Amino acid sequence: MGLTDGAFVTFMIAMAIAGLAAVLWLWPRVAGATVRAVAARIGLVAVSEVLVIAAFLVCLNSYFSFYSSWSALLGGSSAKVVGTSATAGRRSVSLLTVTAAGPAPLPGAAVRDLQRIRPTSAAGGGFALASRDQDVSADLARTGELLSFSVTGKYTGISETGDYIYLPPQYFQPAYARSKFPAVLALTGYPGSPWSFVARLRLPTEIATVARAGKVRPAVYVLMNSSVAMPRDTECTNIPAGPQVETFFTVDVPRAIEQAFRVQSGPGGWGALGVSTGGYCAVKMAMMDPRQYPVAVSLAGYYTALQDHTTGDLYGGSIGYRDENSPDWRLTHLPPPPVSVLVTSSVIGEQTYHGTLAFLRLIRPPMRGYSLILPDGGHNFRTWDRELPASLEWLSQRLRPAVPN
Amino acid sequence: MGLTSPALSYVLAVVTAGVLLGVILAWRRLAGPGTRAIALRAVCQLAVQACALALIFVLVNGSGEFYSSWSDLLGLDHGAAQVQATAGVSTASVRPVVLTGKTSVRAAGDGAAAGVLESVRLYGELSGLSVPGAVYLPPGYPAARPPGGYPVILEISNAIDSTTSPYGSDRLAGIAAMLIAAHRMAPALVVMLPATLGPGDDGCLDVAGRPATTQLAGVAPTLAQTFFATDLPAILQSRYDASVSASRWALLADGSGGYCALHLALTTSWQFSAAVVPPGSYTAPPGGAVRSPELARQDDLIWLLHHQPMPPVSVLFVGSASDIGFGRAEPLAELARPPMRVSQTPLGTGGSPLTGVLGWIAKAIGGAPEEQ
Repeated sequence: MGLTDGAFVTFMIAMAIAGLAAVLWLWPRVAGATVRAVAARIGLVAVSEVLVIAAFLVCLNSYFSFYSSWSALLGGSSAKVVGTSATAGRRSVSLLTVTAAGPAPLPGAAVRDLQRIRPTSAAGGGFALASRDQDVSADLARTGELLSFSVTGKYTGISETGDYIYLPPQYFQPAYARSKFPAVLALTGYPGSPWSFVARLRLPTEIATVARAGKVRPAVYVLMNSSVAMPRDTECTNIPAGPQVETFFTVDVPRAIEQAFRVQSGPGGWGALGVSTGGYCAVKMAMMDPRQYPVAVSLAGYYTALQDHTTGDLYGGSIGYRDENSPDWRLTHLPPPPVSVLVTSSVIGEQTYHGTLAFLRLIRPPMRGYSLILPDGGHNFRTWDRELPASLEWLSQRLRPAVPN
Repeated sequence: MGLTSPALSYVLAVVTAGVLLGVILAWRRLAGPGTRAIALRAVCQLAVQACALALIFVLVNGSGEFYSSWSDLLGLDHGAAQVQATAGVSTASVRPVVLTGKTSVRAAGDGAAAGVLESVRLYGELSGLSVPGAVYLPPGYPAARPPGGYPVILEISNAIDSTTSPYGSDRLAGIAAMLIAAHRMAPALVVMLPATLGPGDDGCLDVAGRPATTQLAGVAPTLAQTFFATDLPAILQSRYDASVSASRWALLADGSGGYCALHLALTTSWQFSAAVVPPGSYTAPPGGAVRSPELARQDDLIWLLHHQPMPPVSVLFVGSASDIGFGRAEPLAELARPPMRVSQTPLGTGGSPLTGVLGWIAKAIGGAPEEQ
């Protein structure tokens, strides 16, 4: 049973309630004055407590979408990087597979309406995107589409599953039938799962809302987990003698998306957006590969190269290589890159506030810095939701728009 | 008491323990029959659970700093703000290409004028490196731009200024001119750059500097790989109409640039699709770059081929007949699997030993453009 399956969450809640009922039922039987009876009471309460707390944690995890699966929580699916293989990288082999699809949410859609496009089985096989372009339903031209996909990096061999792509309504409209759309790579924080973008940040809903208000132009959004080796926090870093995560996001993912969808590949075609760790990723990747990501939005990100017990050694024991992965260090030791970044934080409630101001002070032309600083708001989706409309608008102004045929 | 203050979790822990203890002690009094006793039991249980869950929530929230305050938790924060521009508008930056000289090229053999050799200084906007080199512009440049832009042959060698080495820029340009005139090669840019771009590195790696300490002065970083794989394509595409497709880019190197070229081909194969290098073991970069064990491990190109997907590149090992005969490139050649291809050939003889090699490159980058 999946960690975030509705059935599993229900089961855990039922177990907790059963535990509580059992305590009520067995209460008189352990009411004796003996040591054994007291020990039995403590044991009874402890078991019911564990059940309730377990159910609570499963609910919290499901709500915040920290860990999307057991393997993301516990590890074990470590065979992430495809080794020396004859098939990886061969031309014309599609490295992107769509595993589920459904209409994208309309403005104001409730979270419960989103559940129906959740993939029920990753093994359901993909469908040929190329042959589908002709016969999409007229509905998608009104709603847009949300797809779940798996991708294997041609150059890095890194595999990711359970990520999402949002196609705007225009993608399906006859006027745009031959147009190529700009694309935005959106990366989660750590721990996180791409579903949190859909259900908690409500990114597709928000895009639809601001698009209807005429504030943004249509774009394709690719919603991905910033960690490619959950439960390890990989920080979008090319780990020495390990997964080349930065290359995966700056080369593999854009190429795979461009091959499967009508997405622009030239300068100005792609932007990056991220939350927390994903914000660090977006800014770092823009600075290290400005031709791929000349614009980046960092919602409550940080700008130094992090290392802790969830990351392990990301820099091969090299202080210098760690420096190269720090946006702050790059701005003080290398020429500023030709990119525009928008960074957000809050005066009250964000630990990233002072780091964000310090980063902004280091920015020099041709790099351009923009900030969105709320007076209050913590490190959570509600705060980022408030920052989202202005961020999407800022991003949209800097992407090369899709031109109708 | 603040939602994230440690005091709150201590207070909740004490309260939880107290309630738990109270329930255990009062257990017997609540064990009687009757709805009132059962209702009291239920209330006690709910009190214990509520305290415990509150404690867990405060601990989880504290570890992730999700909600910073009570108003944040309850959704009462509504402060709004505008996007502010904080850094000035772009000013003129360093020019990416500075022309330092220009000569017309005479084709090897008949000596007919065919194209121009520019002496340049290229500035990489990401790496910050300023690199002297030469660019051969074929006859008809730029008017005869092929669809998709010019193919690029990037030569990496510390011998580019030599007039005697076949890898010297004058002689290489002459051979390219001759092949183009004879229609054995499509018009291409030939870019010639040195292998050593900064102190402490001869393998064109990204070598981090060293922060200054009380004893030692700091050393500036040399991002040579960033220059070759990111800066250079940007310069050539924006200033010289170079192709954006990796299938039109090839590397050529002698002993001084061999590691550099092969390393670029294997680690940035989205930018280069062919490389011609001398046979060698390629297990470590040349020069004295001090690298941590993990970085050194992936500098070993044999290790890379064992641990990364096969890059879609064609590699030609070219050396003297004795080099080829002794099979110095065998370990690498045996590891290669499709889409990587490896072949070997002895260096040509006579006045233009690189003629055959350039012909091979012309074929490698002259095919139908690859679907990217």
